[in-house]
Amino acid sequence: MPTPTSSPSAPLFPFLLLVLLPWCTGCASTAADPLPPSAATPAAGTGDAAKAETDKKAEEQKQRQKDLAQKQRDLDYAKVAVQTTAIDRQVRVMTVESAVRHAQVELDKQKRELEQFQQKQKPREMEEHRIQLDMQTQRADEAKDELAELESMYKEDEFARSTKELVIKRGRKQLEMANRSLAVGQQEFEQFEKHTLTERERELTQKVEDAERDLEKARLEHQKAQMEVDVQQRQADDKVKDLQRDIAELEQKIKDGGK
Amino acid sequence: MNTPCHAYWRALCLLVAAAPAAGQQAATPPAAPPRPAADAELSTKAAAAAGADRALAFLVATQHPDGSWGSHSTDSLFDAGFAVETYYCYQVGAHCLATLALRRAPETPERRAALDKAVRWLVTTVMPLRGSGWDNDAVWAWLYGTVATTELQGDPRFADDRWKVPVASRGREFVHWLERNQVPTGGFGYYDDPTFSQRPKWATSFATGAVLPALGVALQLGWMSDAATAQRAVAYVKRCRLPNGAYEYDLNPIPRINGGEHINDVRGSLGRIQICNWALHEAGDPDTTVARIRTGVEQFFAHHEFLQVARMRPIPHEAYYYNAGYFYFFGHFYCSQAIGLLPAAEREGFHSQLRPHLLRTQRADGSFCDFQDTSYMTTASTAFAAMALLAGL
Repeated sequence: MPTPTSSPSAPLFPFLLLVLLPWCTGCASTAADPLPPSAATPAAGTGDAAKAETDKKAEEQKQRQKDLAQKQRDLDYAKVAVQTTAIDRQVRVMTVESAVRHAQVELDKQKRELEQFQQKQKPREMEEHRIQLDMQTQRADEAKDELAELESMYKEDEFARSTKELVIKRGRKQLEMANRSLAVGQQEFEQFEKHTLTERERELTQKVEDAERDLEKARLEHQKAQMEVDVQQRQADDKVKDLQRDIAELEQKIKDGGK
Repeated sequence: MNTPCHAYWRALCLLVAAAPAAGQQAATPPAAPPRPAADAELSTKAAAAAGADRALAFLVATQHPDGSWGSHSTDSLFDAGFAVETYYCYQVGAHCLATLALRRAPETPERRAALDKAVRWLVTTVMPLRGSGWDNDAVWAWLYGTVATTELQGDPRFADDRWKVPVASRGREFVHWLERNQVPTGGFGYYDDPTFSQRPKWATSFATGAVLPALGVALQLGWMSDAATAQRAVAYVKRCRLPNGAYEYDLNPIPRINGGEHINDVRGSLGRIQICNWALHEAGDPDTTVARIRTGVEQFFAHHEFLQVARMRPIPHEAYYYNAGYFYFFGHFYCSQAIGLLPAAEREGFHSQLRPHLLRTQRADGSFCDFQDTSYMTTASTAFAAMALLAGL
């Protein structure tokens, strides 16, 4: 986007003023001075006072010319500042509006995550863990039944006692492992239900609350920025007006001083 | 594989490969490709007799001068991984089946000479033993060794002391090893579970069923040290029976069917149904009635495609319902034995259904095979098929 400061002629303008002003003021001084100093003194006593008065006026006029030039430069700068302030205002407004939008998106996302967890994920994972626990329970139950069945079959005669003992020992160990595995499974299920899931839900709820706070902060930032940029714009506009008024006054004084 | 259908395709391929380039020679119409014989042609007694003759001729022709068949080493990388001893155990088991086939066949001078050589090798060869902790495939040799020696004991051709004493001696050895390896639940199996023990702990219904009738004979012959061995084996097989007529592969204290494809479904149990019904009936089990045996035979033919699709698949149990290639001739042989237990009027109807399933798979040299094409499987398959065909004559 082109800005006043980026215009190729803009930086040259104050410089040209500086170069041309002495020449212009020289011309003005010459134009306001109708006679050479030697010809303007009618008598020696009154002549000195009049000359002093004239010099003073000339000096004052010269100072006004310098002030005018300075004010005109300041006016140029102030006009550029009005435009840069407008751009700053636009950028800052865009930034805070974007922050509000992002905060809103994040809040929506966190709300969906929580909703998904509460309505789908939590019941499904609970069911998965319940199935696993039920399978472990079933395995322990089957190991118990199979051991009982083996012992019942082996009771029928005294054949192969030592080999039977190997099989029974294996069956007892399988039952023991199934029972121990079930005990661990029950503990794991309890931990999952009462701690893991609860903690995950708490974290997700916390994220929603954080996102809500972030959105509120972004909205306040937006309000504050809006107020600040309005003031800055007004300040820039007022400075231009002040300078224009000062320049008009100075020009009037210079004009009056020349009479 | 060398079924008539494959022979047709091979012939067709050769014909295409040998055909001259177009324009080089005047085209002559190709000869009509050989067609597989229709089921009607293969279902007759004459076809069965011819097929059995060719199978027996293969056994006679391929017998080694010392009376044995095949190799005692692994013939296929697919079959590697077992204990070194196991391949000898397979050879002895297959040898017993070939011996049984020759014994059951109508005698010819060639067959008789081969049978004598086979029996001589059987009673003199080194006793197969357990090959490793988990691999106890010696059980197959002991099972069919017991079946073969008990049958030979009842054969008048082997009744003189020249045969009787060595056959009985070898028979006692087989029974002795079986007794030592009967699992606590009463069955016989060929693998063991950790902790590996001298008496293994895992058995199968069909391995146990294979020897049930022979154990009864062994008991009568006084070859057993424990009279309860046979009773326990019968109890084991009976416990494997499921309400739908199938038999569990191995006894589980609490049977389970998981609802999907399972080996203990009827379609995974087609061969086991035949052998277990036959074995229990022969062992005098009152629950194994003719009606139950008939239902089992009907199930065999109703679901036969599950055996057919598994034949010659090289990975054990890779077909539907975990059927393995080697279920094929084992199942067909015991189906023929189960048919033999039905009323005489019903038998021919079932045999005529059975024969085409056998004869369609017979190879040009008269042999049969259902798994990996190893020498021991070819010997065993050919023997099973020959005996199945002979059973209906």
